[in-house]
Amino acid sequence: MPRFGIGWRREIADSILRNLDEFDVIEIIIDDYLDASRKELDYLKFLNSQVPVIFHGIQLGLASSLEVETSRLKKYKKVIDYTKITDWSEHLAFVRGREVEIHHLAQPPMNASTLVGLKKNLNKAKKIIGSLPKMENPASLIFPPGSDWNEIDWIQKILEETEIDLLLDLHNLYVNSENFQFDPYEYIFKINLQRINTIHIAGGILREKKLIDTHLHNVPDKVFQFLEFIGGKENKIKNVILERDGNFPHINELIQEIKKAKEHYHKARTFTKKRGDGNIPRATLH
Amino acid sequence: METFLAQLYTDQNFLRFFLNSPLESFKDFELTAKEQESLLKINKEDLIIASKGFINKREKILRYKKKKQSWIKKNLKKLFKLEDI
Repeated sequence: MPRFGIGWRREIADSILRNLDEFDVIEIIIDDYLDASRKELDYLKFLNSQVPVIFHGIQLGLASSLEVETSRLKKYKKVIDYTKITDWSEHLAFVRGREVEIHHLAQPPMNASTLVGLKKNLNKAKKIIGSLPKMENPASLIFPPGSDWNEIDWIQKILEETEIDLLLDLHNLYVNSENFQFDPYEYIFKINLQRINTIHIAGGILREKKLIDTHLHNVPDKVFQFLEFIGGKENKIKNVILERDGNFPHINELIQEIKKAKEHYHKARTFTKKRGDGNIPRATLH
Repeated sequence: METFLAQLYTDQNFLRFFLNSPLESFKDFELTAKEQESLLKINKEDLIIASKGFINKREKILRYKKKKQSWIKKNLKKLFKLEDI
């Protein structure tokens, strides 16, 4: 049974803490604490004693032919070791060129060279930090130039050639499947669901004929449908996290979205138990 | 390639340069022939939209970094009436 929780954001920190009982897990951006004082990290430790905390990184840029910086990995290690919050994730994205910081996650060219770079960076991360991150599929508005593979082949190769588990962001899957015209269910069918550790759910908008992963809007029905579909299959999902970065509604609305996610996930599992097998035909969900 | 893309996604002047004179824009980046070919085939509309998105996000993050405060400490102290842990 996964834990259902929320991404910690300072604008709703007060509300999250007042409603801590509603969340099984809190996800915190580790990059916000890389230069934190010991006292601030002690507060993180305290929060982790009240509710399980997991870390989410955004600045390593592991999916790149460029080597990840040792100093960044050491900073991650320092925070992880001190807080003993050992569950961490990052993105299948690059975030910088040689001297240019993008300050955002960019989907890399999906090719052999990036895959080699990713493997080297993951090995380096494991060596320095002591563990591998769960890796998230990023959203993109542009099909990465220099790609030799489509997204389904890309994620399959990553799972075949590395030991990582996935953080499957269902809204990013939705966005990319719409923007680049591939079947999201084919993507889900082809990945080993036993390798999904965490799920993100979020919302976005349609603008200039593109779906944008804004994290500023409610979770769309399509994402709940994906969650229900995955919930109906054998899996080892540990966490389902609602991400919201702004345009915050009342916390009760976010709590309701998490409850809705639980309902969709469990609805499929109840159906599976009644039916006695681990598979739900796609057609029955639509 | 990622260095080129990082520049393209975050620098409007470089984006304009690429759109007007792509071959000239490749000069300082040691791109392979295959990489150059894939960039020449890029969907320009998507590129412009993506670039706007990256620049907006970048500006937001740089503004946010200036205002960063120890909200977790502030809120935990307030709610749990903690002095020091």
